Amino acid sequence: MWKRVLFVCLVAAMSAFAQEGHPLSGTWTGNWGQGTGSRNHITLVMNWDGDKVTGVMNPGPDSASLNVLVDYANWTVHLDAQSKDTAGKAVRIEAEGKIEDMGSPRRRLVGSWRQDGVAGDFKVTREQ
Amino acid sequence: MKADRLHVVMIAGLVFLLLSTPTPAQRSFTTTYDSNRKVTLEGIVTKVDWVNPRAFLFMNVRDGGGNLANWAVEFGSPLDLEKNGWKATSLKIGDVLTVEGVLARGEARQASATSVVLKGAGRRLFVPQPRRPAVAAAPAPRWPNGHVRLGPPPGSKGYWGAPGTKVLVENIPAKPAMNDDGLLANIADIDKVAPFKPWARALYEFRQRTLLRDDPLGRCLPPGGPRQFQMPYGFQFIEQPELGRILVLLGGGNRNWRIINTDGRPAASASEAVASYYGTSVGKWEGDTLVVDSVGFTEKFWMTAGGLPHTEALHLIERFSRPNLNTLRYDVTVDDPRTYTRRWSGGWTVQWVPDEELQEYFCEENADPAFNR
Repeated sequence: MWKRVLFVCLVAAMSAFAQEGHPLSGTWTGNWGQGTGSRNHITLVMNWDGDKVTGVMNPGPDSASLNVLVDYANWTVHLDAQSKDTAGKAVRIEAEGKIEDMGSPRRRLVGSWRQDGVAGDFKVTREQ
Repeated sequence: MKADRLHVVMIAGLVFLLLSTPTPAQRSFTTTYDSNRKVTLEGIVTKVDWVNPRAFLFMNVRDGGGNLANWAVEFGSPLDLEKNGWKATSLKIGDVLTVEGVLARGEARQASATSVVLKGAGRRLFVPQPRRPAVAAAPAPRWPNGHVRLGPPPGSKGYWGAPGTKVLVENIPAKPAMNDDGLLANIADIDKVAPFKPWARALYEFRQRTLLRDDPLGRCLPPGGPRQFQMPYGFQFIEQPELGRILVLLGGGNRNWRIINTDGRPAASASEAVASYYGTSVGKWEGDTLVVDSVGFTEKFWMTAGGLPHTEALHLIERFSRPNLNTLRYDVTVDDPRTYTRRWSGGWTVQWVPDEELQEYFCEENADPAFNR
């Protein structure tokens, strides 16, 4: 048991070393919501292919493709995606964020989130 | 039993914290010190920390108000100091010193010494010896099959030492001015460094404007890519033709090594290679030049001081030649279409250090002077 715990900790620690390539590439996890009320978990997986940043929100059966635009002058990021709610209804998601603490292995993307007419804020941290 | 488990979880948590916290272990001079802030300190030595890569002395200094404070003073690398005949015992606890230097950024009581004088005796300590006069360069040594030897001639010792430059920039006539840490003298010269894509240019500018504080080398990660040939304590080639490979032993990278395969195998593709700091390398001789093709790089390092970015698509073509015994010419072509708008090249020469071996160097030894207080 203890070996397993140690192994998981070591793997987690190793993965915290920085990725020094495109700052958006990698897996980001966090949540969005309104204030301190109930928050909704989100996972964003983004990749720089040499021409554009591609991405997926919440990978798996309910995933949604992300359109990602980056303004490199100030490291602001625009995200939009077409997702579905639990009833299968199309839901549009738009977010505006800014990369914070960019040199850190666990940099953050923080900003505003609008989903199906509900406005809130979001914060995701780079996990990879 | 429960207490044992709790212990294990606590230890594991501590390991996690230690490993995951990006401790600024060996930040560059530029990141650590502000050359514009000079200081003179007079005080008594309380501790000497003679470990790689930076020796520190600690001294009690009384300020104008009579208050006593302990200062950390960096005064060189033990490897360099020992080469110049200095020892840990050159300084003793209780010695009274006058130190001139530059202050660390921020509020830390830390300085980098430009002069250390033993008060009373008036003797200056840790002064470098004059450089040995260069001897006329002999021809490059060769193997029986005629290939240039990249290591020492038979029966002798030596390694490759100081590089001609500590930064990689594109080979253009008007190279931008930079310090040894890769910090541009004029930030407007960014476009003279390399043909960046917009994201890479912005990231490079961010690194420059933040004084290179996030350099992975500062966390003692390996100097991958061309940077391995720009480290202060050199490198050595071990040629093993019978095994179809050349080993590169790094003196400045925590005793890292790299393998260049010369057994005729085809060059690897980036998608097949396991990402690593030194890549997967295949070399072949073209006349007197060893041409090495490398792919399979992780994105976890800066490939040179100054913060040049790259992606896993990085492909390096390196050319090593030895025009004479004392000189190694290193040229590298950087091919990373996700980061740069085109291929580009840079290079430098490296000087032979005769009759010596690579010395032991570990970055982590005095990871942070604060630990030693």
